[in-house]
Amino acid sequence: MDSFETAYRQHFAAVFRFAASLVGRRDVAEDLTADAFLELHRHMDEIRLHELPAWLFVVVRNRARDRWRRLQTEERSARWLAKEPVAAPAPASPQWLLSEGLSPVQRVCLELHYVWGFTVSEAAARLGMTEGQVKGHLQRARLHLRTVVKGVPR
Amino acid sequence: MSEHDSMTENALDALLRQEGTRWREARGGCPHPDVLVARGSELVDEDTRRRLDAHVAACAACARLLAGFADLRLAEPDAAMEQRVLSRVTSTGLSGWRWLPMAAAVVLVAGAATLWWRVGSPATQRAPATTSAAVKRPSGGGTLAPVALWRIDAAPVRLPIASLDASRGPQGGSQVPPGLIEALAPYQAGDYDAAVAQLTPVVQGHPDSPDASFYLGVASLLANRPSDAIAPLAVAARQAVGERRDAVEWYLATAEQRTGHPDAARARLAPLCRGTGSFQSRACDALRAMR
Repeated sequence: MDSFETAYRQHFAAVFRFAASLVGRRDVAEDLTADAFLELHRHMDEIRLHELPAWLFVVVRNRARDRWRRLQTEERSARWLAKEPVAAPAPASPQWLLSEGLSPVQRVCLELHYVWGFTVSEAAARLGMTEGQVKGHLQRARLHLRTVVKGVPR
Repeated sequence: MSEHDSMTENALDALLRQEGTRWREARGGCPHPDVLVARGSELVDEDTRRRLDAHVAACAACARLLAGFADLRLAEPDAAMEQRVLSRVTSTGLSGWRWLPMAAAVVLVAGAATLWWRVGSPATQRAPATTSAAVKRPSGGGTLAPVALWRIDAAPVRLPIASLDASRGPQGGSQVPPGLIEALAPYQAGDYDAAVAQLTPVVQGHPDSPDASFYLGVASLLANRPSDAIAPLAVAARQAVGERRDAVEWYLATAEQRTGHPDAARARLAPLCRGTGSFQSRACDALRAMR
């Protein structure tokens, strides 16, 4: 095993957890972790190994900060972030989302897909699942909801 | 009956979407989930954090979503991800070729085995876009003659998947010659002198195998024997397509440049630099370095 792979194996988990703590999203944290190790790969000759993992954390933090600045200006977040600090209580959830027979993961999939309008692939990226897994959770959730939801026409 | 079921399925899907959307529109005070999940981040300013905390305390729906995310342990890495990211980082992206699904010990990414031939001007090393201050520059670089600047990465081992299908027989397209997989073990381990020694008889026995020739050429380069790399790479070039073709051209250009044929190297690098393949930026960097 060469010195890069040794360093990678040693620091991967810590770098990923750090990235996840900064961005809260599994897919983005994975990208940031890959970015950081790519930089390490390119600059292996110039970096003293005792500077790790701090050097990797610096790369991750800088990239995450850039990303957070971009997110602040995007439509999906800018409106909320710019608002006055009033925490308006949300109206009551649709009954089906609270249905007893749903598993927690099914509920998360339902909320991302049907409430927030995430596509299956967007939800899968955020949940660290394959699209097939998300589809499966949605499928089983609907199977359960079919017996619960009233007024489904036909 | 089955038609009735599928109508119900579609109608249910439409109903959930409609009620879900209506509920979201009524939740004007709720942050988008991509903002919500950043609640614990040190990058979030104090004011935003206070608002997020206050909101989650007051909003059962957002609190439930965050709890659902927490249940899924999304901040925990797993072994599959670790391997995936490693491949992303070290792969040179020969995407027309798939991993041979056998002998994981043999078929692994050939690591980041890299060699500097002669260290030259640090200008040839790409700095990270946002972290240049954190990168240590090599001191005293540039004192040697400014030739042979760029770095050689080992090509990851990828062999044609069709070669595993024994039922195709000997006429079934490109075959992995016997002994090649074993001979690639020292290559994988980064011992390029041993790799050259073991790959040479395989190539002698199968002079037309593009795979054997390719890895012998790359191993010769990495063993600092660029003049030995040219002949096998030229054999590989005759049969290479797609990404493999770009890779062969890249290594051939490297060998030519290191054997004192910079014009031949430039002629190979120029189309790579103009193209869109995975060697594009490296080829452009190399051309700049040769100016």
